[in-house]
Amino acid sequence: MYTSATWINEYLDPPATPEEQAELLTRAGFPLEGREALGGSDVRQDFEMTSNRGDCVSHLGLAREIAAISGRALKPPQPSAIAAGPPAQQVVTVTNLEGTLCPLYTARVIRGVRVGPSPQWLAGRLRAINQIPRNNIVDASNFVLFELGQPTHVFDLARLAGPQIIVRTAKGGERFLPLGEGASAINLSEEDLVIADAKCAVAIAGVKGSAQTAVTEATTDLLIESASFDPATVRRTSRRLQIESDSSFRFERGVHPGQVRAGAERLVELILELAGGELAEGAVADGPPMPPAKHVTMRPDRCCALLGVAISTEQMIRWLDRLEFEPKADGDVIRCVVPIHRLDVDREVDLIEEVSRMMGHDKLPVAETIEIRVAPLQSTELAKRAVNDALVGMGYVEIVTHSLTNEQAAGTFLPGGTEMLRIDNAGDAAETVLRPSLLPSLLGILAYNHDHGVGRLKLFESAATYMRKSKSHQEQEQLTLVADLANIEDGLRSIRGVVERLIEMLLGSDAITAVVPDDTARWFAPGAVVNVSGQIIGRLGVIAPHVGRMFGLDDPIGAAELELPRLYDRFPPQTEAQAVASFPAVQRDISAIVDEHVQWTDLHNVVDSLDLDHLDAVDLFSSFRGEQIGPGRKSVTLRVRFRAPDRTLKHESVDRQVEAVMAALQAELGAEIRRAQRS
Amino acid sequence: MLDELHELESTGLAQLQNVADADALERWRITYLGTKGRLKAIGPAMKMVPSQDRPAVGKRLNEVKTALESAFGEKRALLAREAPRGKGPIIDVTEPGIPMGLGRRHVISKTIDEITEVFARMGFCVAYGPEIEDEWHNFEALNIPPDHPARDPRDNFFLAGGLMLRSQTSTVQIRTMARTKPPLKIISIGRVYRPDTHDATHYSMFHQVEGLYVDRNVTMVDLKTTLFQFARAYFGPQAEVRMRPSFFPFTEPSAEVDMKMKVKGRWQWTEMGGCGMVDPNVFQAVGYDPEQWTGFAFGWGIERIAMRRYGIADIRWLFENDARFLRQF
Repeated sequence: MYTSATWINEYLDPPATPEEQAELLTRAGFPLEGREALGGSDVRQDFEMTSNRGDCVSHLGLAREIAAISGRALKPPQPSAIAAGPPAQQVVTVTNLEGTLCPLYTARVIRGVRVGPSPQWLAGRLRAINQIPRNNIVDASNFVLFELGQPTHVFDLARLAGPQIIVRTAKGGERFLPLGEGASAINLSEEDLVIADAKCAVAIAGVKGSAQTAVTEATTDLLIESASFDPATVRRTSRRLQIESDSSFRFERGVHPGQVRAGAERLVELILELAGGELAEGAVADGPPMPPAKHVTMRPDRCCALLGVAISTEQMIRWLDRLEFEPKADGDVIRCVVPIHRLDVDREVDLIEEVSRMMGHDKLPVAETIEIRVAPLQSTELAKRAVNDALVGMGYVEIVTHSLTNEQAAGTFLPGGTEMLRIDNAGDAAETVLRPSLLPSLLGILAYNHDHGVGRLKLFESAATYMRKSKSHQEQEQLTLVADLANIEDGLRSIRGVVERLIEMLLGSDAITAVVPDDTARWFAPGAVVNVSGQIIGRLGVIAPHVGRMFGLDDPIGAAELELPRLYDRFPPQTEAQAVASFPAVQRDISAIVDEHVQWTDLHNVVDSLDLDHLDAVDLFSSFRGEQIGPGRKSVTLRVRFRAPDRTLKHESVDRQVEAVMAALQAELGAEIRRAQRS
Repeated sequence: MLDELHELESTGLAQLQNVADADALERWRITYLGTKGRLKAIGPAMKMVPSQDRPAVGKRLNEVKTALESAFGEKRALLAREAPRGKGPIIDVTEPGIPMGLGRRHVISKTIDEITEVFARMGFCVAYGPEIEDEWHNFEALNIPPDHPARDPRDNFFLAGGLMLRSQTSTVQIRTMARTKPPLKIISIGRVYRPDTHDATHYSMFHQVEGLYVDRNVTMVDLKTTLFQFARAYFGPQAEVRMRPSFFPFTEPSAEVDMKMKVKGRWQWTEMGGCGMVDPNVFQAVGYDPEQWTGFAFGWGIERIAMRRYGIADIRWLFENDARFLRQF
């Protein structure tokens, strides 16, 4: 809120410098956001307002805070307007049909005013807070808003359809032309509260007056509205119609009906002074009975216990008194009456906050040491760090991308049997779908980096994926990696190597990872599912060329999508130390030419099923495709290792096993054995 | 025989004295200690020694052997120490190192890990909750009633069926309290979402860290002390903390926290975020008795801290993920 330091000082004795005002209001909870020197000695200061303190959105309200905190005296204006005209109720009538939405409506009447420019002092006040002066009537109304925080509205009495005010909800589709340059007619809804004359709405309550009843230079007779409106109603209407005014800003924060008459009194006093005219006697008001005063008690013990500091009851009473809470000690409690402007105070804890504000948070001491319960190590945290660190060690760069993606990308990576989750109120935004996979983001970033000359990248992201499955939504944490592949075959093995290492790290070296070919994920070609102890925890594969091209990626990309976080709570695996082998091993390389459809798993299984003496390991040494071998076939070299636990094996001693392997590969897989040699 | 042994010892030692390089030493070793050397040649002559003299001669032979061997060892060590250094293979040591291809954590994750670490030292456990939330956890339970401006559709991402993307990690407080009996001490860190036009300081997704401590007799002094201890541990021994009154629906009293941290070499105040004592209405929503339990909560944005600390001028850099940018951290 823009303030004028000089204006605030009108209500303070002694006055405070702009710097003091800023410091005190910051302490009170309204930090300074900007400061600008004005002509003369005045300074415009912009304070940040909190939504609970509507009472401070005015110069008097801020002066009240400064007075309370600094011990200055507060000098509120004491308006008195002399009525020379007939009783107002003989001139106008007010019918308030919505007592809940409008706790009080008051109308006052001044006839015979001269509309003209405002005097220098008034125009200056408004300019100081970035308001544009219009004429003496509108300016006076504006002045009262920023002085007391009471929004008012002035109608041209002659332009109302009969001297009659009705507070009612709008009729569906009721048309309304708001005042203001360039405004166009709008449709009201039944949720809107309006002020109407005998014919139609002449104001949207608390938001905006109509163009046809606004004060003009020709206006002579005024109907002056001062009222209290329901904050939520004003907010809803203002949002829906996208009309925000200083009045709606204030009403959204709550205006107590008890302050309505004082605002009107101040305004009529000003108008009589600035524009002359004859004030009708009294106000015409309609509304339910005034709400009773709020009584709140506070236990000083509780206050000290919550704040953690010792404050005497006398001190608390002094502070609450300066804030106008009329505190009285009564046994173990302090009884308070909440002043009408403090709509935010209802409970003991609200009073405790007042005490803490008055004390100042800088008075809260800090301790050099703290007492703690030692928290146990958390498996999930340890696992997450281990995985992240391992990936970094393996050359992967972590990225963080937005969880929303566009319809096309989401559709491409949507798993079968699931639906997209969309943002309901996204308007015309492009990215409106919660991503069902991290891959579109990772591929997009990979392409972005390629475009900027950064190639040969390995990237990962750990985040949630979202989808709808059998009518309920699913949110699943995933770890997804992508890597530029130099060579498709080796490259995918390197991705698989990463996956296996991570799983081994999480579950221990006896966790069995199976990678099973699978083509259900359309974005992989080829693709596979990763199976850990019978449970599918993800997939890996090469990004299908048509998918890569969507992102402008022409070269092969390897990727893995893992629901690794499901395994985190088992971390760290139980490790039991094993003695390492003390005798050397004997190795043989066996090259077999097989049909393309024969998989490594098949070869491995054949060797495994032989249950050979001293077999220690079977590794893939190399695989090769080429003209020498012919189309549809490949040459695979297995490295078979033998080891005895109690002696050094002689090379000849494994001949029998090697023969058996070769025979089995020939018999079971139709392999053509190229050679078996020592390595 | 004893004379021969004496002569072998003295000439051997004398000749060793004159050995000046490794080649000569090797020739000396072959001459005296080799398999066909002079010491071995003594063997057959032993047969000629009368049997009563053999123990004495044998003993003497061992002495000579030990003397020659140990002198040889000393000489070899001496020559090794004094030998000129060999050239080794021809290598240009000024050639650049082969990049070892270490990856990087994202600067946001790095900041999250660091903050988690400091709070873990103070006994906070990490808690998680979903990003897709219902309005009860995101608003009602946090004392944000249906008509509150924070619930404006323009400021939130709503999904069908009363769901939304959480706008704050405070939802995790509610979920944790609803399933855990006090006392508890947690932090939750994660993504939150608020519609915004993306520019240098705004992004419609960001990360928050949220702390909650509930126990008997938790005070506002405990809150300030915890924040102070965090600041000292994270930003350094000159870090400071200041609190200003503020308003949040889920805490009362509420405050804004500023911390003095080093920014571009100077210690400067930076707005961190909000904090306060847990509002009794929040305790009631999760079934805690506010007369028995008190607690504090705090929360702030991760991006803001990372941007201040590392001088990141534009929040979009964090989500553009240019590897050249990410590798700086």
